[in-house]
Amino acid sequence: MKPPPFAYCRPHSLHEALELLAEHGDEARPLAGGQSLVPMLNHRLARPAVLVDIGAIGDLQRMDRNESGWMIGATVTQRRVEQESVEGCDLLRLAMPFIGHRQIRARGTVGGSIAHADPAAELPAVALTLDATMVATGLDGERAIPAAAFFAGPYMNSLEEGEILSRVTFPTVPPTTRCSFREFARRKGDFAVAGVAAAVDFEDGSVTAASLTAFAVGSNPVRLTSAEAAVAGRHLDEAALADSAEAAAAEIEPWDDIHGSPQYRRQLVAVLLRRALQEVAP
Amino acid sequence: MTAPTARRVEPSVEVPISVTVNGEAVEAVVPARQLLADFLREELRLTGTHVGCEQGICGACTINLDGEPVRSCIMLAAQVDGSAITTVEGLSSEGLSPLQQAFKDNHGLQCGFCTPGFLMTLSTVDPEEYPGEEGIREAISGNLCRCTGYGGILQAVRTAWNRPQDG
Repeated sequence: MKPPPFAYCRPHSLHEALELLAEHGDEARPLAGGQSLVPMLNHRLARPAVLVDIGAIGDLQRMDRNESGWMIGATVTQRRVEQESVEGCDLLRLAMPFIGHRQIRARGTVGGSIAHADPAAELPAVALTLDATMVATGLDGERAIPAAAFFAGPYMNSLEEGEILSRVTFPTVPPTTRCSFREFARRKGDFAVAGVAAAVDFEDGSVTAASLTAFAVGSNPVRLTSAEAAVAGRHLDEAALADSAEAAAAEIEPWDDIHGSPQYRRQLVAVLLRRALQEVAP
Repeated sequence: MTAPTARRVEPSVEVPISVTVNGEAVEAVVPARQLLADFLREELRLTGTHVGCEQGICGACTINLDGEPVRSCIMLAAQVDGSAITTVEGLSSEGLSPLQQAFKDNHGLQCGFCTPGFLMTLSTVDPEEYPGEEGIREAISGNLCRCTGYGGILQAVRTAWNRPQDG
């Protein structure tokens, strides 16, 4: 229950960190807040020879809003996001209290959680729902990866060797878009057994755009495209809620584990989605 | 991208740190793999910080790091260079702090193993961010008491935060 031996360094520039990561290849891991990686070290599920602590790199701690949305540096803590109003990005704010506990959010980072790609984590679901853009930076420069292409399986992302996730852009939504974030866990702060994120835009009471996501039901968060289609153009009346919930339960392929059977997770997603849609209905 | 700069750091299995602990400056060279909780306990002999689950679940190792409650079992000692830490030993310079006194008066502990973690969480957070009875429960949700002595703990917090029990 103690980490295996490794060498540690704490560079102050992104370039320096990338050089170190390139030099040590797959022997090296970047360390952000460490709220997932250090427990994995303690359990010896991860055995990197070199840890490159990116916590002292000023460029990665920036949080700015521009015309396209909120650009959040990889090592901005979840606690900091929780304390900001993140105007125009309600879903992000709503999801924060569900991430672990205050003590975890104090150290846990936005980029770390997304790069870690835990199937039950909240931030990947928010990123997918809002079509966030991940910026991967390597020694050769930057590339943008849409959320839909970023997650590559449980605890897997599509970063190439030598790249790190340097920031995430969460697009702001129009004021007419209403958001809800819901999850079910056995205890406060536990990983979700199932969860749902919703961002729905309306005009004259009818749905003009719906972005609905389920998480903790499979390898990665999934967009509920059938459930989205089921509410398109409709008022969120009882029939629309029922159709959408039914479509969601049918389209997911939940996994089976000690926390819940596939059937139980289908039911949870249906109930959570119904409640989320009730909440956003004008 | 930042401009290329001269390399200043190299990975090392021993890391020099400067950290303020309970108001005192500490200079140390720590093994890279040493957890912060173990540094506090074994090097500084501040054994009030308890190590329970060693995986960031139970909260027994909670400390105040730069004004935030954090779990010292899932941080490396090497990561706290330049920071200020308060442990349970630093809560009061003389006698018990009002929070500690409230735990004592209300039997807010049974075996006492989890108590330093509860005290450090509660002494670090701002009570105004956790209003009402529900707020107290939220504030302590990241700390586990395996004796399940939550009744006394809740009463201690109500007393310390001057918050009457509703219903």
